[in-house]
Amino acid sequence: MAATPTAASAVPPTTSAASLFAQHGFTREFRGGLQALAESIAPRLRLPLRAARSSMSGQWLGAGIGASLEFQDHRQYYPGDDPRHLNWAAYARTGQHTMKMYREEVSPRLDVVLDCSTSMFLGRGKARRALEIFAFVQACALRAGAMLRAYLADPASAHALPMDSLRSHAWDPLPPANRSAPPALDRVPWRAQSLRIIITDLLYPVPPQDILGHVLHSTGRAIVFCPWSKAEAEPDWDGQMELRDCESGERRLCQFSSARRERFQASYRRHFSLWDEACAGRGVALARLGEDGPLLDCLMKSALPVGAVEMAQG
Amino acid sequence: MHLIFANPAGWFALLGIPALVIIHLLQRQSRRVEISTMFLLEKQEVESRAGRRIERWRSSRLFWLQVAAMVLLSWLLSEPRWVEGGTLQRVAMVLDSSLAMEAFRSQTQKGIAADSATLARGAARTEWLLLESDNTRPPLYHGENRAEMLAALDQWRASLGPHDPAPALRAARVSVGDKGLVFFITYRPPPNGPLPVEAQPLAYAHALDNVGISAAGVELQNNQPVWHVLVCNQSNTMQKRAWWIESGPQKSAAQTLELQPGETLALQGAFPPNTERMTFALEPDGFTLDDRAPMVLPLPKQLAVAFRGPDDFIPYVKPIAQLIDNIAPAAEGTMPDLLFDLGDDPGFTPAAVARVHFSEENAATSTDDVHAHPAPEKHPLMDALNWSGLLYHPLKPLPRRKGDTTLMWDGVFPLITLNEEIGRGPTLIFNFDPRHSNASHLPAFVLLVNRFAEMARQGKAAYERNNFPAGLPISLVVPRDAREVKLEAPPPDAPAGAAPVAQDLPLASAGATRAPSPPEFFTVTVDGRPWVAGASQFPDPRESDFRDAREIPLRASAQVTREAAHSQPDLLAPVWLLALLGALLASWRETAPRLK
Repeated sequence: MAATPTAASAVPPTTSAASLFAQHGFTREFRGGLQALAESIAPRLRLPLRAARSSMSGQWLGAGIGASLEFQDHRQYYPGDDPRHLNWAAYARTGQHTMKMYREEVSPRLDVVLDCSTSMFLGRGKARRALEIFAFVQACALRAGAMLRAYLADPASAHALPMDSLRSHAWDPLPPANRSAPPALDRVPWRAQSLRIIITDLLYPVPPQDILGHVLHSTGRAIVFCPWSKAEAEPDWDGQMELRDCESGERRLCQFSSARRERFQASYRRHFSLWDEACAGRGVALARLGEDGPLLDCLMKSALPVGAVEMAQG
Repeated sequence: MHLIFANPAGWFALLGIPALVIIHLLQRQSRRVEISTMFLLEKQEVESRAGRRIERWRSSRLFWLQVAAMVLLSWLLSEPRWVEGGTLQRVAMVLDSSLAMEAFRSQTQKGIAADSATLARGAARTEWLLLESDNTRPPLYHGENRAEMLAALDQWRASLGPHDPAPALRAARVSVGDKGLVFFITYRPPPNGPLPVEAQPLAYAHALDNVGISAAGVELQNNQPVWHVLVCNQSNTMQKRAWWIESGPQKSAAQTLELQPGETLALQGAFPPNTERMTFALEPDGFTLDDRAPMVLPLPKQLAVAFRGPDDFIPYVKPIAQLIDNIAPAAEGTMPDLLFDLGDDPGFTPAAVARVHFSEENAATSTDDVHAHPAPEKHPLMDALNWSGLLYHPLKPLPRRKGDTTLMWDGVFPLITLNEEIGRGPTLIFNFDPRHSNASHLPAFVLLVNRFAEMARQGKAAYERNNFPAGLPISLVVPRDAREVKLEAPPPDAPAGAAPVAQDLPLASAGATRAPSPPEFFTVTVDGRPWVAGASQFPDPRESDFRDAREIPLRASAQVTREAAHSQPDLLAPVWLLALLGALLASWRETAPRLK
């Protein structure tokens, strides 16, 4: 859990995510409550785990051809196919070698990364939403029997969370990194063919392609949950403002007018439109979840349409 | 066409801009916010990274809107007007000829130079008329050249005591017409309320603590000449001054006076022996004209008096004549200056003689009637004389003659008449016999005779030595055959005691010669002979009271009333007004979200 902060000697110390946790009242009990809430949602919505697979058989029907008992399709035999799946009855009828295909039964792999940069926890609503999503992912994994691995990431490192810590909510955010940079997703040991869930606010000045390249490493599929707050999207800055970056500690004096605020909002929208385009181009579902409203409503409204979650069957 | 501002004081609204800057600086207390989107801001507003002051001002729309509103407000308040080409305005400046103006001479010149420059902007061309309130003097300047007008102003000297400026102001109004501007350049607010003919007062003065000589003269006491002086403290504080006597090159030891506010102190002393001139001098202060009183030992013109009439007339009239100052019996065979006579017919008086004629009551004209309560006329000779106790026997009315002025009436007939027929000597005619009246017991009778004698003395062409009020006529009478009259006096700007400079006086107007100002000794010569040896003295203590002196600036409101004829208001004024309202609304819109 220990992380070495990247020193920025010229700037004052920044607020740590841990202190924000304490400030927002995110105790273990509180997070346990969020977990209970997430587990109540999991029966209605689930993660699209079908693409995530492991070498071990599992209880999920995979997207590919497998050894389950559930018939999926016929196709022409090609040399090298497993002869055990030849449809002899069809051969008897038609004289053609036809393969019977059954759905694969998988035990999905789920790698979830929680961005622990200070910006994620700056506002209580946004921080709560991030933790709700984190809990929801856990709940979905638990319900689906997926092989879950969770990581806490900051710009310098990614730390795996032991499962017992995860279940007991006995984990703490990382110390401040003192710089504004994306989480170190390249340090995450992604498992092959795993479903990668990244919970991050995407507020870092790095091209989306660079981030997504790390996420999609080793033939994986990814979903990005992006919590956001109204305060960051539509700030009430007016007149003389002294702005301080919560991560780098950089201070700046700015004079704001309505026109300048509008220019900022346009820049904000443009930043996320770039992310939308990049994710769409790489088949990554990007769900931006606002801080307002219950998590279920928020997922239904923002995550379901983009395929970041799906309706649970039955 | 050029631009003028009818209300330049409107530009004082620009002082609101520094106030705005201060208010915005005080509001510089920034709101501090911790954010997570600094990198987005960086892309957007790189230039404000350092929070530099100029950038802060530049980016404050509210500030610039308020500055624009201030500028527009100042513009509108200053009432800009466009002066059309070819317009002509007439401006008359009437200079107060009061001697007090000399205390503020340089300030007045500078003030007029500045204000005339302002006034000149009121029209494309300005016709200047520079006058004195002493309306006996010609205009100092009349023309369109402001520099020449100012040069003429440099030559101007105030020389009068208290006087009424109204005639000069009316003359100025007539000259510039209804649309012209008339200014009265003085040193205090007009004491009698608003000036006539819509003249505007202008003053470039300030209050002074002045101590000066209110009056000075020489009298005979026990046949010894004694000078006497009144020194007055015309201020609201106690004042100390040194004083001394100058007589030729000699100067007495200085002594110190201490005067309470408003106090007048009388000083006197023996006139220095073996000299005809002396000067009482005070330590100079802010107003120096009343700090020196030159005095000469008076030597009035002597009147040669003769009497003609019955034997009992001369003893009657002689005591009355002897009450007249400085007379002597006329020599046998010479023409007297003043003749007392009694007879039936007044006849005619020779040109060089003044005559007091009494009608004679004889047996033919005698009557027992006694008349009283004659009706006096208004005349300088009769001023304030009480004739109510006069008793006399009425005589036959005298026929009216050319040059008669009735001084007193007995019913419908003249009782006392003054005849001033041109070419003849003045005659005071009493149409009653004084021997059969109580006239000799009436002060009015004696005073009238004395006044007439003084009139005769003034009209006599003879040498005179006297003290005169500065700037006032000295009643100079020169011989009929005089060819050259000169006034010798130090130049106005010369220091005290400077050598006199001779100045030719035109013969025709020699009678209107005035005592020179500032106060100094002077001499009038006729054909090289001394004719008047005089000392001019500060004329009126009212002219040395500067307690209510103050500045009266050019009233822009009065100016624009006149300028309206020469200029047009700014046609874009409604546009500027709308722009001002727009700026105010926009700044309110900028402020409203913050207030929420």
